[in-house]
Amino acid sequence: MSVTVRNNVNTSGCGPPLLFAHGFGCDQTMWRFVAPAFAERYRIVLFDLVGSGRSDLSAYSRTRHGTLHGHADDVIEICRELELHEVIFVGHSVSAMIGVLALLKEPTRFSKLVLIAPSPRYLDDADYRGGFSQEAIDGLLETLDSNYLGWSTAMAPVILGNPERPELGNELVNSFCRNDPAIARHFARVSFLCDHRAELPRVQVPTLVLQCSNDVIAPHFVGQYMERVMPNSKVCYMKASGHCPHLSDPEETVHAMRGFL
Amino acid sequence: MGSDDTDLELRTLPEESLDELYELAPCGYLSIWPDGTVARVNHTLASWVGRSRHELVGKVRFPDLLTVGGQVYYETHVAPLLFMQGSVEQIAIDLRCVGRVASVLMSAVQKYDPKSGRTAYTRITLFDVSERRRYERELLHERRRAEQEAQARAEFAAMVSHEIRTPLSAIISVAELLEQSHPPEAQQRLVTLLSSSTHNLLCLVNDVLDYSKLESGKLTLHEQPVDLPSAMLELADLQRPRIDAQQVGLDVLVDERIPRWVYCDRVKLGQIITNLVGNAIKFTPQGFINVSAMVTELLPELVSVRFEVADTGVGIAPKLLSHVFERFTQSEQELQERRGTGLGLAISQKLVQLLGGQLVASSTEGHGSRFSFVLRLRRVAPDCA
Repeated sequence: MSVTVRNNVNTSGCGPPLLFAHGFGCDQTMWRFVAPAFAERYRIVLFDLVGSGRSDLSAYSRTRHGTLHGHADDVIEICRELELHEVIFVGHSVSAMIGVLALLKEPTRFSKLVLIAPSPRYLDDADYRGGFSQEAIDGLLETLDSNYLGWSTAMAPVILGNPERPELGNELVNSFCRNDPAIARHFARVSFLCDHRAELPRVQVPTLVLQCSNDVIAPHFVGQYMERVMPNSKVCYMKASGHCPHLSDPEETVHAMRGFL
Repeated sequence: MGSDDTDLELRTLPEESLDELYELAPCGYLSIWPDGTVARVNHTLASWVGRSRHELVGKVRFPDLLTVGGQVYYETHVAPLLFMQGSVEQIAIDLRCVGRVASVLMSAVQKYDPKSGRTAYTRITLFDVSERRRYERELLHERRRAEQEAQARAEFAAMVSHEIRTPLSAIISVAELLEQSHPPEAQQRLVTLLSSSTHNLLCLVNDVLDYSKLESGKLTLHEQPVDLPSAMLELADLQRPRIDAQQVGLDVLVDERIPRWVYCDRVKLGQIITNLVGNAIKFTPQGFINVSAMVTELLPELVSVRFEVADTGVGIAPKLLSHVFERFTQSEQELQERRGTGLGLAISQKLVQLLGGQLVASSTEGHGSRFSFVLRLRRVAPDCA
């Protein structure tokens, strides 16, 4: 199985490679408001994490993907197969740490990191305030069950026209919710129980951290922490609220990224 | 009758304002600004969460009304969906209410600013379905428990079968050595019996092991480029020694349009074809067995191939035909001769399903049987082969 099929890799544009990695619960379609803004000057590389979107679900391994390192290895394999060098890695949520791990595995391959709403550890620990408790994780798993396995119709893929926003066209946009329920549960645990604080000080490349306001998943404390421990990093505090600024405020996100790139 | 109809038409509802409909509807209504802050909320929802409108509007974000697990789900699933598809329907999520957690179904729609095209606000409806969700949770809990038990049983069977194989291999070796030592004729018969019985036992144990691996989800696909036409011919050749012992002809037909290299799990495809041909040989005392692989759809990157094993043997009784893929289903003949495990076709079906197909059977008793399945295979790009 080729890596590009396994991870459903899609590329466009030309220039230095800009590799976009989506977060937990989503797939590469979530970059649709942001990625096109860079297509003129960069080679855009989009992919789905194994187990998400239109990736090859049979390639999901409880062992390999039992830690974020497995996904980081996948990222490196994508870079090798596409012969990407001087990669600018843009990672959202849990994929921010996947990017950090990939960079530490092959430091020469990456030139910059853009980390959107990142967190090296979600659970609180002594004076570190990740913002999560075990209760949050249990509650999330139960909500996942209800929506994937229960009677909810939430996760049915839909094809929607956007009469108010015709530029989006008619597209199957709910593909990221077709995730396999068992994989979603496993990935949720892997994501929210990780702790990669120790790796952060080893990242030497210029790094931009986009910190949203009112983000329960990656609260302000975490953004400040990242800036403190990563030697070459800068935090941009955004007006955008929530956990997905590239969806809720693509303009602000593009603006912040352009300033950094 | 006529006067009744007139009465119905003349009936009027008591005065009911739109405000009342909004405020006292039996469901929660709210509108939120793009940053999540409550812009408007109805009385029903405010009373559920035990706060006044004054405390909510402009001060509280909608996600803050959810349980912590619900907040994470909202931010990772619901909000992205809303931004991308403009609406969500019937999301199951938990709301922190006075003295309880209410399970609600949330539907929402984005309202856009006509000039900028950006989200102006989001309109949300919440239905309290706590009782239904409690029932649903119990069902899910029981389902998970049943699945775990089934898996534990399958793992136990796999473990036991695996443990039996080691001493069994030793017994088989000993029987072979005995056979080679030219024992006296009286003992020769016993040694032959020993040898064939242990081989049968090994087949049985292997079947149980395969089946339990499939049941416990331990078997995974190992796709690699396969030269399909050659593989089909080789698989058929492996059966020749068994065929030659009977008065049976074996024909292999491979469609010329099949691309030479496709991605497939060769071992599992081989196991399926071997199982099916083995069955055909078993139930065809004389006649023909036809093995074929024909293209049903040819696309630039994909090819659909229909694999078929047909024989002119004894066929399958109609009442048995619908059960052939169930475990421990055996023909009268097999039962009488005490042969096989009744797992072969069940294993084949599971393997075909693992490869993304469905094994189907048709048969006319006395005239033969036909087993077929279609697989969609990815073609190997020419420069990769």
